[in-house]
Amino acid sequence: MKKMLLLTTMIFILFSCSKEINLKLPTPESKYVVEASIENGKYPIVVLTRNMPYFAPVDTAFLMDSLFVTDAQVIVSDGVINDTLQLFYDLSRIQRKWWPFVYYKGSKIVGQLGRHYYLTVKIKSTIITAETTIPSNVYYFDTIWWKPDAKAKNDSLGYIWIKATDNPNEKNYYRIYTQRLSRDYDFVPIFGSVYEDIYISGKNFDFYLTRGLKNIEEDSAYSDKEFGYYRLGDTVVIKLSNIDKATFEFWRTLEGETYSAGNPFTNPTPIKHNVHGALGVFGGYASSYDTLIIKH
Amino acid sequence: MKRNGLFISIIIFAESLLYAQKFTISGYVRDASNGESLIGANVWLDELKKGATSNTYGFYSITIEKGTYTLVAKYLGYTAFKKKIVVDKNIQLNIELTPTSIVAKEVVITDNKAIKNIESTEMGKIDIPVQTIKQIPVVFGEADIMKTLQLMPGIQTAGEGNTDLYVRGGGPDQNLILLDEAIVYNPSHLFGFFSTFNADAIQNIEMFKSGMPAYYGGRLASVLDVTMKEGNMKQWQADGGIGLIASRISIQGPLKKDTASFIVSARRTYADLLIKPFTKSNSIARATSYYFYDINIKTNYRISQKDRLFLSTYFGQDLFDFNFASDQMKTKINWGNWTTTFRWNHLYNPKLFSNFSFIFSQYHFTFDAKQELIKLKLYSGIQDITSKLDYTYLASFGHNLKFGLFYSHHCYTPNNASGYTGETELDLGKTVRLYSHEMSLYVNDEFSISNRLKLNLGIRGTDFMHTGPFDRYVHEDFNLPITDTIHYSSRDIVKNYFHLEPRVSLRFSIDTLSSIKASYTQNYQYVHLVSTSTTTLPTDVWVPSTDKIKPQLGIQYSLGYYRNFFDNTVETSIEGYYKTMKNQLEYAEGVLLENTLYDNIDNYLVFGKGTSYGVEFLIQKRMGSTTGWIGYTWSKTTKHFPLINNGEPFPAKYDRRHDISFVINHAINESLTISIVWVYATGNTTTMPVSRYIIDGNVVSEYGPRNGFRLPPYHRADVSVNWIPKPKKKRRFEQSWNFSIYNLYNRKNPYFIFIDVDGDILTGNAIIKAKQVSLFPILPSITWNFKF
Repeated sequence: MKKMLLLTTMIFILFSCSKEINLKLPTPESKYVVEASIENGKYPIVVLTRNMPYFAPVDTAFLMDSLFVTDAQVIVSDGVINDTLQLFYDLSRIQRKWWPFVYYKGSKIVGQLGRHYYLTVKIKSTIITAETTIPSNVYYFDTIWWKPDAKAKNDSLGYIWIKATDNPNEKNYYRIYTQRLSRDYDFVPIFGSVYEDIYISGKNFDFYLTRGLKNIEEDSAYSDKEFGYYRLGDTVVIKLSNIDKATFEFWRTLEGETYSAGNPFTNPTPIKHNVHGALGVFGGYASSYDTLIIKH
Repeated sequence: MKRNGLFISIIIFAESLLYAQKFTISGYVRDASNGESLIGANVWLDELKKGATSNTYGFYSITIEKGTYTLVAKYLGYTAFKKKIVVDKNIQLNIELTPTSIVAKEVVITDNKAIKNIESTEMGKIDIPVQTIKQIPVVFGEADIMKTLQLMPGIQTAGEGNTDLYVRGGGPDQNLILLDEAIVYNPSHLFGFFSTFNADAIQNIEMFKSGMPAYYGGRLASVLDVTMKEGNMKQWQADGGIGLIASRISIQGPLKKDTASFIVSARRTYADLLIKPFTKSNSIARATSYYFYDINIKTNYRISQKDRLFLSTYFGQDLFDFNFASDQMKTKINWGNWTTTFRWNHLYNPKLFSNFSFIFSQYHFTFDAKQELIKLKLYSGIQDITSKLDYTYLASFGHNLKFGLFYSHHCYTPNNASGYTGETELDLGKTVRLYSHEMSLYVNDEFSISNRLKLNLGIRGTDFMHTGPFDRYVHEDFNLPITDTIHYSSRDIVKNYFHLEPRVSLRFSIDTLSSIKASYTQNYQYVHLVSTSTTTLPTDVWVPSTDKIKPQLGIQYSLGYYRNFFDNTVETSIEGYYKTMKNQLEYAEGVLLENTLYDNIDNYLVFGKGTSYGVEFLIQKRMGSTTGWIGYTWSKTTKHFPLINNGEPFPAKYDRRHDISFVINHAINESLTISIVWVYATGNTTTMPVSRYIIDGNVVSEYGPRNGFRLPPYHRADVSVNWIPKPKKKRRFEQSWNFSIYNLYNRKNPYFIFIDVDGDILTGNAIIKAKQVSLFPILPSITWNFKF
């Protein structure tokens, strides 16, 4: 349904004239944004940023000064021990312009399957809290393969296909990412990265992955020949994360909003933040990894 | 039927005893050139300054005391009929009026005076003759009933090209749109750019914005009653036109002269021509194909002066094909209406007219998509079977009494989906069908209390039943799991609603040139349109009232002052209204539409109320070589839902503070007429982002209050020239050319606004721009019309 509406929008945009206009919008309320995660076998990571007025100018100076919050106290707890996260300026990411550049990283708590975690952030007089769970089970795809796509008109471009079986006894939510070794610095969620088992509960099904973009606003990336595809010769790591409902709801509404941003045919989707006192998410991920070397 | 007959006979007998000296003149008013019934013609007796108007079938009846009178019959666009009659028994008099040409002469100015707006109690009623509609240019040079109605005060559009009617703050689902008594659920082609009414097949249009008499029911905001032509009773006739975008043809003629006739009208657009003018050399345009067609067929048979049969049908479809090459996605979308009406007019006696109708109405929408191995099919539809029995009793004591009954069986399929990924069938829920029965009884009377005060009183009682088979999924909230399922069989009544709808309107004549009118209207609506979008699309879903969706209630108060000038050639009016709407619905915030497939759709709705008030001004000139009108509406429409916008009232998406229409038709000479239209409207409301933030390196918008922002105002001018070349000898074959320009000064009216973010925010290279999309630039068009 949404795809059809998106298509209709695209048709109208292309069929008609568009011109730039000046809009006067009121000054918004300042808010903090939390992008936090904890994964099995990894330390928690928390990115803290601020929101900005819609048409505020964007330049590097602004980014480094106002965007990231650097004076916060960030604590993650598993109910037993507290880990005070340390601010880290990640130079390799800054160099590669790979988000996030500045974040708080843990050193005491390593994510465990089935555990529940609490986050507390103090910035000046503001207190922000959130909690999440890393689900108990890790899932794997049954089979993974690649095949060239006829529409690409180039037999070295195609989709990665997966065969999976969903557990009918459990309500599951998933997030899927891919990383092309030596081409992607880190994992990139696929286009439409979150699913719940409502459509395929208990069934065995085939599905293909559309490679996502690190920066979805980069217009030129859409006309790139490789858009959505994986190339012959690439080695791709596929990450399948089992997530809880709140994490799923956040990414589902966020992607719904950012993909259809500006769609005049729908009212904006309110994003389901699971953080109290700020915008954003604290997600728990039970992840599995699988590598596919793409060859004929 | 038998009991009704007995009851009626008693009244008639009793009456004939009391008023032994009165006699009835009755008959049918018809067009002398083709035999078409003339609806709403004035028939009166000069000496008494009293009379009647002909009904939908052209029937009129006047009961008066014995004497000699001058009977006058008038209808706009026709030469008046005058006859001296001696009334000493019941007289059957069929009147044939001869049409005068549209280019008016002196005779017409003095004869056809506009007294209807002063005299009638029907306030909030709009009467636009079909000839006027044909003169006014609309998009692509096609005449359109809905687009012309939108030029009247109180009736608005949602924006560019949209034919949906928003009447006095009411939504597009709140208009009762009837074509020969059959409900048309989606009167739009091409997402609202054209309506489903082919002006060549239409005889009459009546529209009520308020004060709907009790014989109409089921919608809150308005009634648009469209009657198809019956078919030329005298000779064969063909009309048509070939235009840049669409062509149409109409063939009509007698099957038996003056006894039976038929009419067939068809219209079709050309897909490629429609899309190509806007094409950027881009694969998307090439991949799209769209066309619509419609067909109207009607036939009638006059058995005798007392009995007449009609059979009419409408069938129309929009077909849209889209093959997005790079995604290998094939989409096929198709929607349309099909209606059929069978009618039997029966005249019991000169005072009692009846009509029995049996109507079938269907609307469907299907969406088929295929991408690689994924196949998806969505279907939604409505099927109504209706029967109606309507009586008009033109009693001698000055009452125009109407009463009748109505029964309709509805079957709604709001959303039915099926799909496959490869060979695996996706579980997309069961097919849900919602059944209901609607029964109404009404009585309506129009009568004069004194010489100055005339009253129109009516009451309508409706019983609405939602019946099984039906499964109710019970859960606290759509985000929480389903805790119980209640199964209803086809014999169970899930929910029953009974309501009374009083309707009152009155007219007080100040003098022969002015009057005051007031009305109170109460309406219930048992069908609801759930819209996923900020503009109407065929994906919008119709649902009936259920145990969870209460019927909508609309209460409207209106007051107006009507004054004619210059010997009744210029009409003016000021009308104010105040309206409350209860049990309005919307999708809850954050609903995942796909989940509604496994559940009752009404578990995803939230309810609230709406309020609308405004003032409408109109100056109109209907006669002479220059005709037209200027209309201005000031209005405010607000919605208030506890679960939307944090419970704060917000403007309705079609809230329009100012709306101005200016229409002029001028006959330059016998062959040439020019038409100019200028419209201005306050911009549409929209929800805008107020701030942005970054998640995972991507920009996310944070939105402000619902509909808290206004787009720039909408205005444009259109001009149309109609040239009828007059050959030296009058020939059977007539032709005319129409040249029109839509959006004369090329105003780029915003259709919507979107935010374009280009570049990489992370490198400080992002450019964030607000862009507006406009649809139609200046569009010239040529149409060739013919008639023989």
